[in-house]
Amino acid sequence: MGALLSYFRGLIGSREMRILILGLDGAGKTTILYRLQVGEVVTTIPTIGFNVEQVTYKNLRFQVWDLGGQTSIRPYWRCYYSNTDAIIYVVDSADRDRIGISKQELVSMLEEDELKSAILAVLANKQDMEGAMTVAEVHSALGLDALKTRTFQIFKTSAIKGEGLDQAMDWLANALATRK
Amino acid sequence: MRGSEHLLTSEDWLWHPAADVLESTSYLGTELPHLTSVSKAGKMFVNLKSKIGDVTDLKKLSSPQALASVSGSRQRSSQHTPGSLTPRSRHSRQASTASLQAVQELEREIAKLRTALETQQDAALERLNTREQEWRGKLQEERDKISVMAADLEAAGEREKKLQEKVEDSSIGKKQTTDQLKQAQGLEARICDMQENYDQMEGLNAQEMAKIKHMLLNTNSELEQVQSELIKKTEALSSVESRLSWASALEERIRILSEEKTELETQVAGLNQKLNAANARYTALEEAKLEESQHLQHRVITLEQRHSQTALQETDKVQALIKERENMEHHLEEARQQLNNIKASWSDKITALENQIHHLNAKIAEDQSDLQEAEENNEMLKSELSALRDENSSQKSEYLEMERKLQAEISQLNEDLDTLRWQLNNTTLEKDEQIKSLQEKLASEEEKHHSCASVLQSKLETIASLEQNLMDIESEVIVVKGNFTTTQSDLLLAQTEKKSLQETLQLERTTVEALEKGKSELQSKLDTVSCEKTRLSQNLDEYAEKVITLEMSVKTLEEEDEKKAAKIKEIEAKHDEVIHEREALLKQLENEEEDLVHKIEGSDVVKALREEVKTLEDEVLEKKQALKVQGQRLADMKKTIQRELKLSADSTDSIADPRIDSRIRDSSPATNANSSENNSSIGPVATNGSDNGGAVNNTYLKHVIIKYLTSREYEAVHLTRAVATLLQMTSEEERLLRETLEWKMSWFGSKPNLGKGQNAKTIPPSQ
Repeated sequence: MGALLSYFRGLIGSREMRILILGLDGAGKTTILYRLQVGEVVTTIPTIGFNVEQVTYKNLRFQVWDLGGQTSIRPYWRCYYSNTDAIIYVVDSADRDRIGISKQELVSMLEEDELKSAILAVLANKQDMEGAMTVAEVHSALGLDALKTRTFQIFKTSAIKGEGLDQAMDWLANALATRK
Repeated sequence: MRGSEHLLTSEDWLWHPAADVLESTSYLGTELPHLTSVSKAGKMFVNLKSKIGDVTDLKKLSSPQALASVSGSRQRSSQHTPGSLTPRSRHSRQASTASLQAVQELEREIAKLRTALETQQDAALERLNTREQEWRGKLQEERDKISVMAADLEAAGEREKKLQEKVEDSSIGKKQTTDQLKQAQGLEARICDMQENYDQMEGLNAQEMAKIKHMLLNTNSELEQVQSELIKKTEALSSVESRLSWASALEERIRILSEEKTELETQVAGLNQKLNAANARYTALEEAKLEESQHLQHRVITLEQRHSQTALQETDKVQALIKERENMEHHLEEARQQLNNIKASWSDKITALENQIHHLNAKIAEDQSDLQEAEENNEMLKSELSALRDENSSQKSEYLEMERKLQAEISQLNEDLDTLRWQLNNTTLEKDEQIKSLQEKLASEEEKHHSCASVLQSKLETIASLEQNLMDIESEVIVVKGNFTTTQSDLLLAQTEKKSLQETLQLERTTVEALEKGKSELQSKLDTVSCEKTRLSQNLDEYAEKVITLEMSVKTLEEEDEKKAAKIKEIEAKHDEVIHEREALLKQLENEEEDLVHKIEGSDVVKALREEVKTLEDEVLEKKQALKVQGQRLADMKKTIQRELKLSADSTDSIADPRIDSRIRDSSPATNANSSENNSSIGPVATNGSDNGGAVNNTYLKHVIIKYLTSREYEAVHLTRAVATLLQMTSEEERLLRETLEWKMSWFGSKPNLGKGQNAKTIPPSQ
């Protein structure tokens, strides 16, 4: 049955884009996922494991994987890297203490061969909170200046208020469309 | 003693006759008597001795008779002895003739001595006798005395005994008394204690008594207050009770009235009931009568019918029947009359009763209305009273006010009158003056008239006009008169105005007075202000003086300032000089420093240090390069490992590499990427992964496995890697998983080899 469906999907040609949402625990990955899918803010619990949802945006279908970001299960991210088209890397802009760890994780992730061709969208999330870092600060803190070859873009977002997500998805959809 | 004395006396008594005998013998014989006397004397001594012994035996007799007998015997013996002794002396004379002479001499001497002795003895005996006698008397006396004494002694002994007994008794008594004393002492101590306790208790009692007295006083005062309150309350109560009694009297009256009312109402109700009953009876009777009459009429009709039918045959019967009928009708009429009478009587009664009821109702209504009216009247009267009081008070106040006003008005009017009189005089004067002036005018006009007349005469034509003018003037005069009247009225008006003006004047005066008062106050204020002003001016003067002094001081200060400024200038000049010196010194210093630097640079130590630094820097650079090389190597290693991992997924040969497998099994994929050398640098990630340990990993594993098992193959493909790493599968096992998934997804294709028997990785399909 599943095979049949996938076969037909392949025939139709609108192959699903595979997107990973990564980031440290508590950055807002799950909230962003369900904001994208349902358009609402849902109450979430810490994700130990992952969430997969089908998101349609501008006639583009995405299979979005939201992987749990806790320290002990971060190493398992690399199990999901294969066949990934894009990465949405979520950063908690208000968490200045762990921005370094976030940078480490991002760098080690981008070094993976399986993600060489993946498009990167960095979301500086939680811009609604007081004392949150600006986009420029997040940009410099993550060391994104060092990225030369990768197509990437940074956005300021607030998953709770739903700000900035549309721009990010627009850019992502355009980038994925042009890449093909 | 007694015995010896007795013996002595007896010897003395005895000795006396013996001496007499000796003397007689000596007188009788010469030698022989001597010898015999000597022997006699010896014998006598022996005899005496024996006799004394006898006497001693005889002492017991102790009587003069016995003594006499003894003496008698002695006499006899003495008489006897010469006879017996004579033979013996003869014998001795014969035996010793040689010594006879010496013995005779001796005998003589002895005789002499004997006589002397005898004399002495006699004297002594006599003395002794006398003494004995004395002694005997004394003895007897003493014996008597002794006996008396003995008796006394016995009496004394008895007394002693008695006394001893008494003493014993007294000692017993003493003991008892001592015991009693001890008891008494104990009791005394107790009594003391008791007294102390009693004292304490008394003190406490006194304190308590004082307290209680105090309390009593307080309570008495309170009682008095309460009593006064009680009296007040009782008074209030009595007043209230009197009110109550009044109220109760009223209530009783009301009760009586209400009882009467209720009685009357009950009477009315009874009468009504009677009336109803009577009506009912009446109606019943009427109905009965109607029925009876109808019945009788029917009967009559039937009878008439019968009569008509049987008239021909039974005329007599008919007649009788007719008579009967007539009788019946008569009866009926009578009954009707009776009924009517009854009706009339009933109606009369009813009407009477109704009248009574009406009367009673009217009475009740009247009573009620009277009551209400009385109450209303009462209330009205009260309200009127209060209103009247209020009015009275208000009227009183109004009256007082009116009186005041009236007095004020009277005074004003009096004043007005005075002023009016004065004004009137003035006005009359003025009028007189006006009149005079008018008369003068008139005179002048008459003169003019005269002149005019002359002119008239000359100018007849103008006369008329003049006359007309005159007339006009007269009319004018009239008008003037009217004007006068009007002016008079105006005057009156003016007077009224004056009154009002005077009033206003008065008001103004009062205001002026008030203003004057204000003025005086202001003047007083002014005075105070002027005083203050003078003070202030004085102060100002003082201040001015002070200012002057201050200015003086300022001037002096300014002078000082100038001096100081001059000094400062001098100091600045000095400072500049100093700065110049400093700059010069600084230049010198710089020069010296440069020299020093040159010197230091020139020194060997510095050179050596620099060389060391250079060498160290070189070393650091080398090490950095080595580090970079190692990092590159690390990256290469990572890549190679990843490739190997990928390859191991496809090829079975990679199992042969135990290192990678062991690393995969170790902890996490992150450590896979790290070489063993660099473990410490990226260590935290791995250690963090292992820190949270089993719990999170276990839940993660569970989550992933559930998702893997429940999702479709297309999605499950993405999870094979995760499952394989989580379960630490070998690459072979992972390959098997993937192949089975691909087989499931594909329409065609062969099932992968999953082994057989014990090594089988799958359940063989059931056939």
